[in-house]
Amino acid sequence: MDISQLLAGFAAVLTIQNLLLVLAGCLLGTLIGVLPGVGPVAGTAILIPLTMDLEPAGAIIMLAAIFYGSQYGGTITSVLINTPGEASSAITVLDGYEMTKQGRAGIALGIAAIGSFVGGTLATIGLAVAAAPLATLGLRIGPPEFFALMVLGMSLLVGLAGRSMIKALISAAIGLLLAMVGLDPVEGAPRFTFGIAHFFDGIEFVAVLVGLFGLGEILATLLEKRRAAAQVTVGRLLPDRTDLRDSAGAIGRGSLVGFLLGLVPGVTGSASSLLAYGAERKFGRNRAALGTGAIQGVAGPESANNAHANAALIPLFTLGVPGSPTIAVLMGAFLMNGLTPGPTLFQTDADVAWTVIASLFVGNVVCLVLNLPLIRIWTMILKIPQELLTAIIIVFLVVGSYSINNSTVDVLVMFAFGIVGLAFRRLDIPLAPLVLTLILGPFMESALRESLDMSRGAMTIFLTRPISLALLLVAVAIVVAPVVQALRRSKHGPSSLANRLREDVEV
Amino acid sequence: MEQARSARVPDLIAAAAVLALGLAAFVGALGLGYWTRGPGAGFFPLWLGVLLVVLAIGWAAQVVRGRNLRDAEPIAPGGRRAVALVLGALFVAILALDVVGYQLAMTALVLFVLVVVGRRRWFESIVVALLSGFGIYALFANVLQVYLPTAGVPFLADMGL
Repeated sequence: MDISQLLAGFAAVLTIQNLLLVLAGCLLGTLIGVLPGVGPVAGTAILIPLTMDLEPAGAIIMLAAIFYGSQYGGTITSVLINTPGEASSAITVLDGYEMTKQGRAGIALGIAAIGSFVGGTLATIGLAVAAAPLATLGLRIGPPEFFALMVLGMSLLVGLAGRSMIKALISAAIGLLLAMVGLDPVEGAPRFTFGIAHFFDGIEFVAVLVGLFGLGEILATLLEKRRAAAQVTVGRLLPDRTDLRDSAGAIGRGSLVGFLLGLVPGVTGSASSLLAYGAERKFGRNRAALGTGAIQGVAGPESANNAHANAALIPLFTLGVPGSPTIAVLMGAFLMNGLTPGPTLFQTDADVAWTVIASLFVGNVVCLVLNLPLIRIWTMILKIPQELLTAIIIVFLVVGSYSINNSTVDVLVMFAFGIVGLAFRRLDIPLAPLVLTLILGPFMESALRESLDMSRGAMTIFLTRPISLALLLVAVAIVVAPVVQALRRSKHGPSSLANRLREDVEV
Repeated sequence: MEQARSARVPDLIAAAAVLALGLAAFVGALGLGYWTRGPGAGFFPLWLGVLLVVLAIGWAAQVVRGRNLRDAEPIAPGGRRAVALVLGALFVAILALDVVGYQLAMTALVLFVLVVVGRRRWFESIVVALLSGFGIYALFANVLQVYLPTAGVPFLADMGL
């Protein structure tokens, strides 16, 4: 790690303007996490237009703060109203809501904020230490390896995320197809634009995501009328000595799990929090108390999802591969600001990269400091009637999708994908693969076509280069293993990681 | 089992839609040039089309054999109506954005969603609708210097809408 560059990054963050951006990002992110119906993906996407007037570093600082702020916020609904505000806090419901029923809601939120802080900060230290060396390694990667790496990321997502591989693959393929819309990156030929000039630059991914995740979720809420009323007392916030002793191990284990899984592109934050919960079930203190309001059942997963969120920036910064849908949105924001995340980032825009890394440290402190005293305000938001929230969120979906390019075409795109999002939800098709392929599509296609250019059309180029061969073999193994296992499973064989995670989801 | 069977029809329709999408991509890709010195503009979409067709057939086969069916969350009474009303109103409002401007279109949309779909009280609904329409417009124009759509009709535009 180059200390001087990190210090320069800190110097750049610690200006009034950038601190305000971190603060605003943390607040907005927590709000997004709290609001039912707006997850981190739609939330971050809606807020991209707000950052368009900022200089690149400021825009990324704010969006990154929104991203990890939403991780803090998602916990609040899990604990208070038994409804996860975003997927990676889903497992927290088990013990968090039990604690609320026992009148220990404040302590659950307090330990979640502390665990999130520890996890997030440890992962950011990892990012600061590993980013530059890994980026140097990343520079040696050619188009075939890059393509193989993206295939690997996608196969992980497909293999782990959903219950049906066919549905996950359909989602991924549709995302890739959407990425084809616009001028072809190599020859400039218009593809699938239906003669509409607006689509020559490609279909606006922000509008697509705001529709899929924002409008889609609102429609699903309307259709299924799910919502629990928040009638809770928060109580004491700061955990006492026993609480801290009980959760210290869980925070450590959670941070480690989250950090390691965050490094792997394609593994989402929910996998981290589930595995961290699993770790508590296996190795934690008072295992028997888990599920009945044990504090480590909140501390472990919440440390894990924040460690994951920050660690997931490592593959983005060093290889240019986003590991989760929200990171993919962040990558889109980098691109809109003229920054290409990946190994070259530390050469062309090193100052921006280090400023963003420094802002993560600052942001984690800000989120911790903000969260504890503001918890009571967030709980008030939960008491706003659902109908009002629905109307207000729809207004922001329209405003957010319009202001990307000041075009009503994008609002119509948002509308159309809202319907698609609802359909995906009803049909149990995962959305995450679509997001990843939509944003990575152009890169995948360029990498594939450049590779085939290098080899004069021979597909064997992916198999003759050792790194790409190894990556592809792992990818194939991930996709094929569960299929083989399903075929062989006459009795209860040893279950794979993927199956265990799937079973955990259904807890 | 009964419930699983009821889930078949939507799944089959969706699989058919994926099939149609795959075929459309394939046909569209044929016209783009599969190979021009290297892989051409149509190369990637063509194989995507093939992949989608294969996946759609695979999905349909699973559905027919009664495998991989999942019960979605039950639909609440009035849920379909609420979704239809919101979608219809939102579509009209989006089309109206460039005609009557953001302020009128959004005020009307929010008022409709609150009063008709949400059955909220009139007073509260009007306040929230005005804030969403005129308040947000003013906020974006004055603080963020982002101008939301204004009316295309001259008479309304003259009134500053």
